[in-house]
Amino acid sequence: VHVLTKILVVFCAVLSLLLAALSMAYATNADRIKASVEHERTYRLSTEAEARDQVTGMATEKAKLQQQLQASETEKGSINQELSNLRSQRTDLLSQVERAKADADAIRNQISQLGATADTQAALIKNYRDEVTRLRDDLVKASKREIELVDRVNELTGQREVLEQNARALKEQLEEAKLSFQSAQQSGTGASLAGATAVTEPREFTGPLVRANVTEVTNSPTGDLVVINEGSNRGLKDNMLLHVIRGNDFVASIVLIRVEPNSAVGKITLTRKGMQVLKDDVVLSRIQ
Amino acid sequence: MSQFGMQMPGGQMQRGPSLNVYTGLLALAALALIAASAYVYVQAAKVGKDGSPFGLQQVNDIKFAGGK
Repeated sequence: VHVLTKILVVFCAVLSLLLAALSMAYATNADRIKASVEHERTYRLSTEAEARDQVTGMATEKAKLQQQLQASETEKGSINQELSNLRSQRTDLLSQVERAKADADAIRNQISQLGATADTQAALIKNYRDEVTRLRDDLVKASKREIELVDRVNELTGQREVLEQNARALKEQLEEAKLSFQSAQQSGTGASLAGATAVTEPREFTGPLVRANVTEVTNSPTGDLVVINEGSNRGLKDNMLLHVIRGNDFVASIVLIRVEPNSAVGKITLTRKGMQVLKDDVVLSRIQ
Repeated sequence: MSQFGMQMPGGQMQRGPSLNVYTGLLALAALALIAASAYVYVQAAKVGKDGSPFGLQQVNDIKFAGGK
């Protein structure tokens, strides 16, 4: 056999072994790859089914989320509206706070002013109280002094009245003594007629001032008569000369011709020209 | 000495084996095997583990050349 043939035989044998090994490895890998592909296909199908389920779930979830988003948008709008309202309210409240602060400051100032005023008034009240206390003490003292003076005045008034009574009695005694003296003197000289005329001459009341009113005016043949509301209780007697006035004007003079305890009748002896005695005219014992 | 391939003078001229049709067929078979082996090598390298034509893949753990 030719050597080349031998070499080719050996070479072919080696190539056959190599090709057999490559074919087995290729076949094995092809089978395993096929199994893997089948597995992967199964896994892919299951994964796709699961993915479809997930997609469905996600779609549902998406719908829910969209609803939630829409609700959130609506809520956001309402919240924004409420926020704007709250901002406006905040602005109003801030302005109110500022006004309240200003009012508080004004009130605080007023309080401080009132406090100062109260202190001043307290001081004034204290001064007034002290002064009132002092005045009350002075008033008490003055009252005591007045009481003492009133007692003294009453005492002196009593003494004066007693003295006036005594003086009046003495004046009456003096008048009577004068009349007696004149009578005696006239009777001594033999002019009894003139003495009688002197005895009937009217005289003024020498006691305290008597004030009365005309209650009645009558006309009689012997002259105009006047009735007054005072009488012998005030010391008036017959043949006393009284004066009728109206206001500050003299009206007439009257001479009492009849005296009662509480009334008297007088005859008008002198009348101012152009005037006449009227009811309620004032009658005085003497013109001051 | 002829057994050693030496040709002695006056020796009979030895005639070697000649090429025949089988040698040609073997050569053709060798060429076919070379082509088949190259083709299978290239294809086995594509499906072999990590690009090796003789590497065996594991089920569910297929690894090709380039880490794909």
